[in-house]
Amino acid sequence: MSAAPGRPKQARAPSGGSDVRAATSVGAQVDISGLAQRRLALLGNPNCGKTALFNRLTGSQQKVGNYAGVTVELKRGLMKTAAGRSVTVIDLPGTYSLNAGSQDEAVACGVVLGHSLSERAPDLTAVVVDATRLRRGLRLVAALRRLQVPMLVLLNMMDRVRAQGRSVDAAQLARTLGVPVVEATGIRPEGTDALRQLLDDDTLWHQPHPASQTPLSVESQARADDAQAQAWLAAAGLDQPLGEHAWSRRLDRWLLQPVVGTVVLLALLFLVFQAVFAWAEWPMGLIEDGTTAVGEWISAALPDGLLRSLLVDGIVAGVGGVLVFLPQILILFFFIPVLEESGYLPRAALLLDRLMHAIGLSGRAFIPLLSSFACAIPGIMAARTISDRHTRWTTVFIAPLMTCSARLPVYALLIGAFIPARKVGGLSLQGLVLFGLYALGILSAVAVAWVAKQWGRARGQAGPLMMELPDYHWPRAKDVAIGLWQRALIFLRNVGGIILALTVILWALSSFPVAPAGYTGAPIEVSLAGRIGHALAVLFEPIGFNWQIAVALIPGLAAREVVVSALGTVYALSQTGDDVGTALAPLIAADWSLATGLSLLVWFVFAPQCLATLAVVRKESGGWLLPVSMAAFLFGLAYTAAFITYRLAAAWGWA
Amino acid sequence: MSETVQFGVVLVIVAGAVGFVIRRAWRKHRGQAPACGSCERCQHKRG
Repeated sequence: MSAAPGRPKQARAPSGGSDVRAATSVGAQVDISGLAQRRLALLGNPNCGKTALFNRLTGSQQKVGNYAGVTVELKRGLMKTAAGRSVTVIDLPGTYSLNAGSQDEAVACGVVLGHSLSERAPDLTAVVVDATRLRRGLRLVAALRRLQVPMLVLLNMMDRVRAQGRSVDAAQLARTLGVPVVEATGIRPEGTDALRQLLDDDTLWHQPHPASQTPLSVESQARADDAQAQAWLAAAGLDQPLGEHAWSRRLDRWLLQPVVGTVVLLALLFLVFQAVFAWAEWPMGLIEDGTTAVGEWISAALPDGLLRSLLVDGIVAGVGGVLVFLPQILILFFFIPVLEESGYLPRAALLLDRLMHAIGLSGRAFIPLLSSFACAIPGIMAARTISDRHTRWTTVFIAPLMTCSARLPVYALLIGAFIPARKVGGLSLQGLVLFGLYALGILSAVAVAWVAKQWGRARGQAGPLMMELPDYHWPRAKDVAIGLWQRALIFLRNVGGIILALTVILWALSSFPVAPAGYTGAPIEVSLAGRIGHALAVLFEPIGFNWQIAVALIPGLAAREVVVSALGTVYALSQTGDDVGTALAPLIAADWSLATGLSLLVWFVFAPQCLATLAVVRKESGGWLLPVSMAAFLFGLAYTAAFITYRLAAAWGWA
Repeated sequence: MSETVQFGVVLVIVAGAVGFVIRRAWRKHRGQAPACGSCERCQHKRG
């Protein structure tokens, strides 16, 4: 298809006739550099809504959150102007000034000022200003104007200004600033129409661009920029600060109070873990019944042989065993976006700042550590927002101790097998144990950080936390639903991808070589996997692991959930009778002692059973020292803790 | 279904699984695939 005459070539439109083109939708790895010659950078303070605007302009679905530091590296997408011209949009991490304090700020400043080696300077910079916090946003405008960077100003969150019964005259502000000013609302479909029209103005794109700029001294520059912002506001009649939500202030009086706030935080976490078990029972039963029925149907339809074994003992037993945990993962990830969107998370960071300082970190480490509950990898990447070197690497070091979502299927399997489903004081005992496992991870991270603080005391202290507290919002049901849908897709993609592939490979290793004629034991015993498992069992015997666990831990290095599917396959092949459809939990409950179950739980709290995490640490640190020492330390810690747990449980008579 | 056919089908499936794992590891090594695949934030590598 040829492009219309006189217009730049357009990217292929998605179905639905949207006026934007998603160049980088979730999961797509599209190199769009060079598609559009005109390049627009979105620059602004943290949490001013840049990524929401980026998503609205480009049709992307980048993560947004009601707190600072969500975006830690630049992202590109393609948008169309009102006249249909293509523009590359660059979403930058938030920054308060052009003097970078942390690595993410350095990325933003480097691109806009033309210092970046990997990214050409944008033709135009759109400074996104939170209209409810004009003065702070205009400081950045002042800094850019002083450096003569071609720009326009996007007044975002105008809906909130209007909700407060106030107004900001964009035209008056534009006359005062001497640059185009347009209103925008990132969360509404029509919120970017004015910008799309403005970007068709060719004169905007042909402003003289300065050569690579170097900012002046930090102190004098900050004072000058602030004075300029104040002068602009006075000239535009906007020097009366807009009030923040009264009920946000009232809520904060309680939620930031050290004692009440901590109790509320603990109660919230408690509720989440109770819900994970209490709400998931019914859908989990449905999935379990479904996989059993599929296994029985295949068994009936196919003759006994290799293919039936692969499908029933390998794929259904292995993959079905992981799939059953989808409801629990979705329940956990229902609460996380709700807390993010509501604006509660930065309050929790502030609340924990004192504790963080006591262990040598700062509240700034809270967001990376919180991200690590989903997956350690984004948490480790988010640690770029920490400017203090010692604090950053300590945060990276302890991030894998936060309980990531991949551990949840393992915990749920073992808790379901070994902890009775009864109530203690009206609370689910299984939920309490899950809470305890999460708490164990957090407490061990605290201990490691405290030790690191003693070791690194001479290297400086973490700076004070300066974090903006956004107003509370009701989470939008659509955002939460999209988040849950994406989470389900990611889980299912993993189940249908790496988990399925590793399960098939493990089935093959567990089925060949075939047992000799007349062999009376389970054929897996003489297979390659069985032999490897028996060899490794010597290493794991002191901590109570049998050879089946030893086998399952190896593919589990690719993704922790694979341990569950691997155990499913190994145990399905270990059965000598007709045990099709037998759930994994009762099988391991019958085969393992309680001491072994507890030991494996503790192993998973500490062990860095994730090669991808170690690879990212290597990439972030630029060397092997940190990932190798991290792996050695955490495996050592896991082995020691599992050993102590197993021996104590054995002494208690649970072996 | 004869044993030979079953063996052939199984061989194809296992070979596909091995190929998938190797390709995924290679793409990760080259930075062409998401680092973890567990969350949306690192689904987007630089273009």
